Amino acid sequence: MSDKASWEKTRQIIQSRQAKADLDLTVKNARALWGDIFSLLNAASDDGILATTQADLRGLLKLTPQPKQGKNVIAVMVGAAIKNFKRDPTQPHLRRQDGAWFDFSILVDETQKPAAIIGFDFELRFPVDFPTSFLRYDLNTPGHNNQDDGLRFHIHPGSDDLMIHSGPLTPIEILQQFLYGLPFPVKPRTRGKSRPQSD
Amino acid sequence: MSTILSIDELLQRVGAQPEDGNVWFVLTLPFAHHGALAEDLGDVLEIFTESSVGKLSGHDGVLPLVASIASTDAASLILSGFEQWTMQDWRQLDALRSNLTVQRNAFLLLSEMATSIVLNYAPNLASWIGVRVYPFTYGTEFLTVEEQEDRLVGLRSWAGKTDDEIIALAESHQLSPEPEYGEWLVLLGRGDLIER
Repeated sequence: MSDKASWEKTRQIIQSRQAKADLDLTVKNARALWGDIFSLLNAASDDGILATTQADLRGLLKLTPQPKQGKNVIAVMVGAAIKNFKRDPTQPHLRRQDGAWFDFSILVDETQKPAAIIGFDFELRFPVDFPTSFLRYDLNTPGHNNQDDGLRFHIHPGSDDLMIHSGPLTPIEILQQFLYGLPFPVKPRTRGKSRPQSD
Repeated sequence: MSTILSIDELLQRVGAQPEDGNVWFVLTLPFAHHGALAEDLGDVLEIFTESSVGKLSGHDGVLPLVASIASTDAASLILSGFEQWTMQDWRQLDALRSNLTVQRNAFLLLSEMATSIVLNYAPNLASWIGVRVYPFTYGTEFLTVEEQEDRLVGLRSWAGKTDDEIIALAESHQLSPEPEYGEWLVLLGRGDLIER
């Protein structure tokens, strides 16, 4: 087997291992998830971790409307109007005291019993003088397409083109990581954005 | 005039209350929203306060409600179902006010008319509730139609595709599983097309 074919097989093995992880993505419903997230963000604002004030938080965490009949998939997100593909800091977002800022969108399937999170994207963006520009967690929606690339749950480490397998994290855990788990180091090991020149 | 509350502001006010409080809030909103708000508030309050929330109804009258309040051990209560209550019912509850003195917070969901009756004809209850009477706007946390369309505009620009193209790809099981496309289908009311 070629190295490339071997890696493609390994990718599927890793994805299969991820699927077996004890990761509970069930929730009571989208509203309960909204409440969980709001509680976490409110506490972080109170703790002084978030520069986003409690007043700013109001109206920032949104849901798509419930269907008039039956159940459906509901999206829970930060920022109402625009999905911030251009990483524009003038769009609604959550901001840490140190200048890092983030937003997210989560899909909750309420047609399942119990309801379950079936997809999300969380992106943390760093100030311009930080060596990495952003970090994003993506959980692709389920379906056969994921079997092709074996990367349903992955991280983009500062590049939209690079993807690596992610460890099993729930949305609340990712938010906790964004808020409390990625502080800027007092003495950074890497300074500036330039890479060392090869000989 | 009291501040008009939404659910997120209400939660923040609740968070600012002492933990062993015995605070009653009146949330004034059209009766048509009482059922949905009771459900939503129950879900989020339980998480926000990390304690049990009971939902009780005044539908069966004053005495059954008082008995239910006295017997439940829920840490907070959401009380609704007062649409049939008369002035006499509220006077009776007012007279039984001492039976309600348990260390817990409560949220009365009332129409404008019922709020007026309580404030004018149930003086003990009114005194206990004090200034915590709030016009309430249900549903401000949901995207408006305009906001949904704005997000769709952003998705169309990002992907360079139309809504019809996305639906066609989803129906032929060729749509990328990236979460942005899932949200796109949700915004179009076609979350059913997300592959499971």
